[in-house]
Amino acid sequence: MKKSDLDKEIDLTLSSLDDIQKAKAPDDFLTTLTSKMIFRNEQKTWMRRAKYAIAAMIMFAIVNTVLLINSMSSDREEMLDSVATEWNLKAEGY
Amino acid sequence: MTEEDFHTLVLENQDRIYNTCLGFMKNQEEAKDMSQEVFIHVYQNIERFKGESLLSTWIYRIAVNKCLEEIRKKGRQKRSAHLEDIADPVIQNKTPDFFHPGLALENQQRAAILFGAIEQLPEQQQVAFTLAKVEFLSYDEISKVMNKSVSSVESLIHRAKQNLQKILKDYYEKI
Repeated sequence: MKKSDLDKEIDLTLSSLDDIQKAKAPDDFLTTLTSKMIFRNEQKTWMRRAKYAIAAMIMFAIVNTVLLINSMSSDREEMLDSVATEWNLKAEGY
Repeated sequence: MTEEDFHTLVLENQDRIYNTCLGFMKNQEEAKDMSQEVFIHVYQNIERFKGESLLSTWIYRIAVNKCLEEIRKKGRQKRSAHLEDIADPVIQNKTPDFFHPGLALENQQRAAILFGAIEQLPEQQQVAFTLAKVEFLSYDEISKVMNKSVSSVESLIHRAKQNLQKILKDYYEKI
């Protein structure tokens, strides 16, 4: 491309936006925006419910584990007691 | 903010925000998504608007920030796919493909090249130039949106034009 043609093309390109008309938002803009907001709100509500459900399940699991550990330790004591009695191992003083 | 107030706000501002987002995103679907994100942000944060500027200026600022954020995100994704790009000569020599709906047919090809060149400008120059040329904001309005002085905006646009000339010269010399 000759220099004069090149300069002319650059000028034309730079001024190509001079007569631009502003683009208008699509006709369904507000409708789709509203449904997007409703959808996100519902999603948020479900997420919140899911969080509560998971928290409740974790609490349930923790309580169960504690109860299980407690019952296991009392069972162990009872077992040791019964073994000691059976074998007459209970010291009654020296 | 009541639902009715929000609808009025959207109807009053949707065209200018969509047009601004289109100038940055250069894709009609992305511009629609992005401008809807702007209005959702406005709805969720309206109590933060202190009335120190015009509401429209505040919304423009949100739109610019959201678009820049998205462009940066896309830039990062592009960079991570950089090795694939190098291996693909078609992407390296790709022709501009964005045609703004508000342009006359005879200007569309050149404007597409110009939009491609604007993308290569530094971020601040890109913002000032786009707001001036696509949204027709005055230097004073741009300075309020960008939180800069009018003279800084003038200088940004001046430098943007100089850089665009260089970018376009390179482009036309290569083809």
